Amino acid sequence: MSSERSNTETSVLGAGVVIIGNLGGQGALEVQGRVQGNLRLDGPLTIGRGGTVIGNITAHSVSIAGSVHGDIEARDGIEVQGPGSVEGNLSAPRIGIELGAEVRGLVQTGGAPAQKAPGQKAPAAKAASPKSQSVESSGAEPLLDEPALRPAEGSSPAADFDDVEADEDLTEEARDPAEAEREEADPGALRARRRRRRRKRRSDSADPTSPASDEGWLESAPAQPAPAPAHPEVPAGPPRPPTFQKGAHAQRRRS
Amino acid sequence: MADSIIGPGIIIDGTVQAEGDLRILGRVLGRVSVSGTLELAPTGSVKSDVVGGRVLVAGMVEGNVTGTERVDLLAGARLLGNVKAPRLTIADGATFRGKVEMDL
Repeated sequence: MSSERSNTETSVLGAGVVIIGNLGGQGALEVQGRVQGNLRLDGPLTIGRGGTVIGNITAHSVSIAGSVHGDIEARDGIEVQGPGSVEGNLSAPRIGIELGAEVRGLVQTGGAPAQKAPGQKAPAAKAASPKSQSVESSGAEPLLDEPALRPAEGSSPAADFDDVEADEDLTEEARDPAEAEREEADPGALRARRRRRRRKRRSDSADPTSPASDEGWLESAPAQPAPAPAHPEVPAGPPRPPTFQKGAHAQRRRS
Repeated sequence: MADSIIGPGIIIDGTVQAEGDLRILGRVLGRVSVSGTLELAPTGSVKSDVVGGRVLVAGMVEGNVTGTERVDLLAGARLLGNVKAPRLTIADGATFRGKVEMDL
């Protein structure tokens, strides 16, 4: 940001330009082409008619007549013009959406992404009514954070955990083959057994230590709010995919 | 086609593909491919291969440069990579290390 003239030169990505990757920097930028990646600009950004950005945008101000798939965060303001369309969240002190514009996402004005002391209203925010300030953004510097709207990659720790549980469940199921055989041979006995078990567990389930509820259990006893050992049919039945039992198994172990 | 300019303050971490002409005054850390004239200004730099119809280099390139029409290395240019073009000029003051291939 020196006095150099060229440093403030407007960048133009014409209609024939395709950028695949992230773009960042200073100065004004006009996109008439296509950007597939995140855009972080310390300057005004214009997305012209026909311009497309697929990615999250952070800029000083954003004017959209093209289309954006991604979250937009501006220090100053966002303007979605008539032909423009946005699929993503908008966050800026001032936001304007023209008649005819398509916006699908959360719009948040006033909750200034700019740096300021917590609880203090941004000076620019007085122009617009600070409507939804519910999301915590003051004090922090979200302008430099990636908006976390991209799909999670790989498996989450929770999923791993579930898998482990499911595996254990299989081994436990195999623990009593004789009983399972017996029940397979006589479905009537199996049903009776299940009924007995359910009744027993229902009486046991006054135990308040397990707050969560299990789907399988709720099916058989919908009136029961907090069942504890919810696994009515452990060793029985044909082999099922282990995923069916995740929740139930977790419950049983906890109790 | 409208002229496209990547300003001096801009950094692109990815590939750039352009129909028409393109001027680069900023930094591109990925492949640049232009159908028309590509002008790399003194402030501009590309850290990957560059392909264009006519390629004018006054900035820095770390990668191979291909010009289907011609490649001009202007004074102040720095090129670390090979050049492939039917015509090539290297101006006095240009720095260049690489091979030249002219039988396109």
